[in-house]
Amino acid sequence: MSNFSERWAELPDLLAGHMRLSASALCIGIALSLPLGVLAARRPKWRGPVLGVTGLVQTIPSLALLALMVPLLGGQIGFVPALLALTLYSMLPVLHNTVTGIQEVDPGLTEAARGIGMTPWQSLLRVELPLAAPVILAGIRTASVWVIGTATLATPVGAQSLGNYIFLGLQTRNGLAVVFGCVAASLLAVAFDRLIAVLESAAKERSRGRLTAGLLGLALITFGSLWPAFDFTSSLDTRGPALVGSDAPKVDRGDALASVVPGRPITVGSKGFTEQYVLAELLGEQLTAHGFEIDNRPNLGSTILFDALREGTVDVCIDYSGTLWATILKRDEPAPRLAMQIEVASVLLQEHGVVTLGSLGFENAYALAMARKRAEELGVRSLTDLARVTSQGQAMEIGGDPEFFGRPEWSRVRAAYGLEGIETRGMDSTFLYGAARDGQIDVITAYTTDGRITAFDLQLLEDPDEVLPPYDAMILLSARAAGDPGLVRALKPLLNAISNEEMRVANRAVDLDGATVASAAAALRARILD
Amino acid sequence: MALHLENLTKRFGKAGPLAVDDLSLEIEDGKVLVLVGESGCGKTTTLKMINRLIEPSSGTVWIGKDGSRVDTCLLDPVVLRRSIGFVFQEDGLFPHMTVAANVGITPSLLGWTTDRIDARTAELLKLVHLDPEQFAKRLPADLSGGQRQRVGFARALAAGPSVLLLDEPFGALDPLTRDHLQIEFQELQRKLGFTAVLVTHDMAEALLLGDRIAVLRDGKIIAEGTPRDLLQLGPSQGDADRAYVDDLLATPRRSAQRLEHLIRSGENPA
Ligand SMILES: Nc1ncnc2c1ncn2[C@@H]1O[C@H](COP(=O)(O)OP(=O)(O)OP(=O)(O)O)[C@@H](O)[C@H]1O
Ligand SMILES: [Mg+2]
Repeated sequence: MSNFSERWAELPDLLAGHMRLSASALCIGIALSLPLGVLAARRPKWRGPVLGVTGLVQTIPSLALLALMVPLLGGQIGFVPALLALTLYSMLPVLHNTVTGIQEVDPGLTEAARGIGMTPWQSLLRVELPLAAPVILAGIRTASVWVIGTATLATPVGAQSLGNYIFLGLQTRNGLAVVFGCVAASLLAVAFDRLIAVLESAAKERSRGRLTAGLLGLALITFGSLWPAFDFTSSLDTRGPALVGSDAPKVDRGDALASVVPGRPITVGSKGFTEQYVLAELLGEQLTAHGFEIDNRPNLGSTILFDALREGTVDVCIDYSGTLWATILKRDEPAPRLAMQIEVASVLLQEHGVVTLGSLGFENAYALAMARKRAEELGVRSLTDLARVTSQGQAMEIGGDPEFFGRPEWSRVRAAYGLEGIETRGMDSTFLYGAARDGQIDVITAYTTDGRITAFDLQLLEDPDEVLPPYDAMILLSARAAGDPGLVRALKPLLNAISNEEMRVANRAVDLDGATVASAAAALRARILD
Repeated sequence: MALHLENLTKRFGKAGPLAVDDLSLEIEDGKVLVLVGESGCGKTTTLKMINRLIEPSSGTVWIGKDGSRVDTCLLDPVVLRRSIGFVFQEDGLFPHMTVAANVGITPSLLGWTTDRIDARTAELLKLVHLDPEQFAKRLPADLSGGQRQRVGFARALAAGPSVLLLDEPFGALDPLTRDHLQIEFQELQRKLGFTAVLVTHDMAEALLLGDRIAVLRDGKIIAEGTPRDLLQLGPSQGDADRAYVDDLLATPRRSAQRLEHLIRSGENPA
């Protein structure tokens, strides 16, 4: 299936998810902000605190606000945390404009309202709110544009949105997907903006006709986009028709009945980079082939994914021993490969109730890499060499994903080899390899399974003191999933089946050869299950 | 309804000057009292204390009939205001409501049925010489100043109040429209028999419309009586308040004399 038709097939579900999230957040946000705004307009004492707190929420970067909701909700991922964050985010403009709109009502008119015998409540409903309506609607308009835009950032907390396109596209270098997501989200935002502007002018000029037209338009887009969400069969399969093709796997109903919680799909979580997409797809296909319903949650943040697994909102995922060692076990001393796996598995089980099914066989470790030509010019083959040229006054800059520079192993590498003089620059891993190839940056943090290492002729720097920890890919299961013998049986064949080279080939197919994640995963699966 | 204002005092803020200073007035049932005085003398404040849009700092407003009267501060202000019509200095019409909705607002607050409100609205618009067919569905912005003030009257009269308070109702109108409306007001008042307190800074208007006139200066009443009483006050003889009233009367007196001369001789006295 072509890239375009695959993206197109995903549109109904992602659009529905996006709309469900944005519309609910807006509705709840408005329902909360209107009364609060009225209160703040009436009581000057409340105004400062109410506007202050919502203003403060607004200063939290939206991505951080979304990510914060997950731990605040005890590890829950998906719709609820995203809804909460977006609701908070939508409140300021509505609140602010409600206060302003009411305060701007001619005091002569509010006095007239009192003078002819209106109670404060009647004055509010019959005079102040109708007169403030255009200003309040302008606030709602701003809020809706913000919310629809920000909802694309809900992907990393596991909520379906048009952001899925953008995150997937950026990670797998699929420009079409990025464009798809951006265009769809901005069309939606522009449509809301225009239609609410119609309501605004209707309120200003008291035009019934325009009011009806605007409301009708909004209802049409909202329910039109939500339509697939009402359609039971398509909403379960988030990957659209990918499974309906002629090569759809035969479903073994017998295994499905072994499921401990029949009816609830198995949630496969993954982080936001190519290898994770491919592996999630692989897990998904393997489970579907054994009769399980799958709910895919791609692009989750690293700690969000683990929290979700612990709470059982994600059932299956792939994580790496070194990552867990540092972020969950909070250990920073190095450990041999197998010892680390055993230690990690036992702590995950005892302290977090997360079951380690086993490792996939390959290791996606962090390594430092340089363009081969540049490395040869400088005579750098290992981290020791790198430290030497740096201390000789050669200005060197290292680029890496910001997560890496925050990890203890980076401080350890720095200390062990004496790399304190080197400059660091955080950037998205998508751009790292190309930057190194083109000489825009001297050294990068690379993943050992990345297809671009060979394709771009990069050289991995040796780590003679073995300071960089091992990163074995392991299948992790929630307690619920681990209690399902059918599921365990379905995943067993994947253990120790994927070599570094197999993984690199699959990653490369997506990153460089423009293959879709689904086809790369299918090819990988075919190779390893022979 | 008769009104009795007793030792009314209003001080805005803690240490501000007195806007109204120990003011007492009787207004008989079915009569028109005009409060006259220059800008800032406390006319609006006094008027608003009658329907408790402004609460007095001290003093009492009594409202009642035939010797039985109540202290307004014991009444629910919302109920009190619905039974007193108020015509505002600048029409005070709600710009988002049609003429009909503006006129029918007090009846609708009182819970009348729509049919009754519609009938009443049409009746009132006719009463203030506006054709309901033509005006009922318009918005205030689409009316002239005079038409707006007529709607303001109709709104104040909608629930059939026995007291009407009017704050410079003709202040912003051209002389001809003002003349018409003054006459119409007088006719309405005679026909419906409500008690009215009307505020103006125009002595001629006060003389024309008032059964009694109270002259206000710095929050105090410095003269009170029928138009005839005021016109027949003797020369001031050094009394500053008396001189002030004379000043106020001088303009209408002079134009009346001039007009009389003009009408009799056909010549303008130079
Ligand atoms: N809400 C208020 N706060 C403080 N001072 C006020 C307030 N309302 C009126 N005043 C003051 O009280 C005094 C009387 O005001 P008021 O409005 O009664 O005057 P007025 O006779 O109606 O004048 P005008 O003919 O200009 O309408 C003025 O000095 C005014 O500044
Ligand atoms: Mg006034």
